[in-house]
Amino acid sequence: MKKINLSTNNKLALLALILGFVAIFFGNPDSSNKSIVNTEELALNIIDTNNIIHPMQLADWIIQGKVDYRLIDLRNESKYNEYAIPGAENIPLTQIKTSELLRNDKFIIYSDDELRTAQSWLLMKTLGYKNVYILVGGIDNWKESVIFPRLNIENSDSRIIEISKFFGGTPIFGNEHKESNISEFSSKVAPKIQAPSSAGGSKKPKQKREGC
Amino acid sequence: MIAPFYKFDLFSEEFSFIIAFLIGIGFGFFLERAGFGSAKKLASQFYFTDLAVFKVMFTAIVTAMIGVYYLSIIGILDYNLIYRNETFLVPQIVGGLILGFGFIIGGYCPGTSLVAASTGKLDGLFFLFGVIAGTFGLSLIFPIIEPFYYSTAIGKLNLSDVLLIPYGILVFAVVLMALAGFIAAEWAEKRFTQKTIEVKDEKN
Repeated sequence: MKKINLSTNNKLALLALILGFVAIFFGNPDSSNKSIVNTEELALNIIDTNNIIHPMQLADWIIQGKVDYRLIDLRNESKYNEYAIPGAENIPLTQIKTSELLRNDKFIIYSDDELRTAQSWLLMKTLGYKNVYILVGGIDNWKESVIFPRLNIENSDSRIIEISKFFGGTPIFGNEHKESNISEFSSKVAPKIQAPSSAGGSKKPKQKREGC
Repeated sequence: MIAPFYKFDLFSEEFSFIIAFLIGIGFGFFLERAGFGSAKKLASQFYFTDLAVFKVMFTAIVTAMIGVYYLSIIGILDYNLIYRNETFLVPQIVGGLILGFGFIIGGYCPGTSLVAASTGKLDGLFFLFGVIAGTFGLSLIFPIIEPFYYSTAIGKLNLSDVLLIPYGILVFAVVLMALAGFIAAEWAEKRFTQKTIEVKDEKN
């Protein structure tokens, strides 16, 4: 048999050809669609309920001007434009996968559907986002406990009234007719928030720059 | 652990500058070793007498493609997170033509002018001044051309999305294309170099 002498270039070209040929049988690398999840960590998260944030706590953070988290509104754009919690970014569920969110940032997610939010939480965890929190009760709970809190006239907490006013809301006192009030407010007034510039979302948390 | 590490925020922005510095040094070094610090070498590719630029670039493309592909297959890399420029079709075609003209006239592309300047070539240094002046000029007229600049946007595209060919087959196709390109390049080099010599002979 004749010995074939290959130059380095030829060998490299051959290697590329082989690797290229083998690639045909591997198909698409769909790493984005499969992921490995630490099920124990997930289970602990769920049992300890340390993956939730209460509206009042969030309201406090916004007033304090905390910027170490990103608030994600999972609802669709029209609902987001109608009313959103100050500082919230609108990223509908379908776009979470392609969004360029950093995996180690802290996220608080909410929508108008608890089940969907919970599922989104699971989806984000499987996508590798480390710190994801659910706003308990979503936007409705936000409106009920922060914007239009129900209070007893006798022992009304001035702090709650203060917070409510800060977000352009009105506390509802015990003897008022609640149901109609809330729905009326949330559809008609839907207070457009003029939160001060120190509030959460006005300062964007660090965003990585990239590109050439 | 899944790459790209930067996207996962595993190191700070400051540390990423150090990494960028090291990669940049490496890039410059290999451009220089490939002879791209010489305008003569670069310009001769347009006369098909020396297609080293074409060969080096295509080698880089194929190497990177095979690397990214197999790392994604193994699951070490999430290729969706690699930064890609968005496509603005017409402005990028126009920009490519301008860059091509500049390349032929000046003998360098922006990257190689830096290589040439850093090895002390005066033409490289002048080219670099031109790049800076041009960038400055563009920023001045940017408001006027902005609508065009962002026109015909078609987002981030992959070849496999455009051609609707499975990724694996596309990898093979690009490898074949590159190898065919190399063979054609070698052939052209021989042919056109001979022609130049013949022309020179006739003149003598």
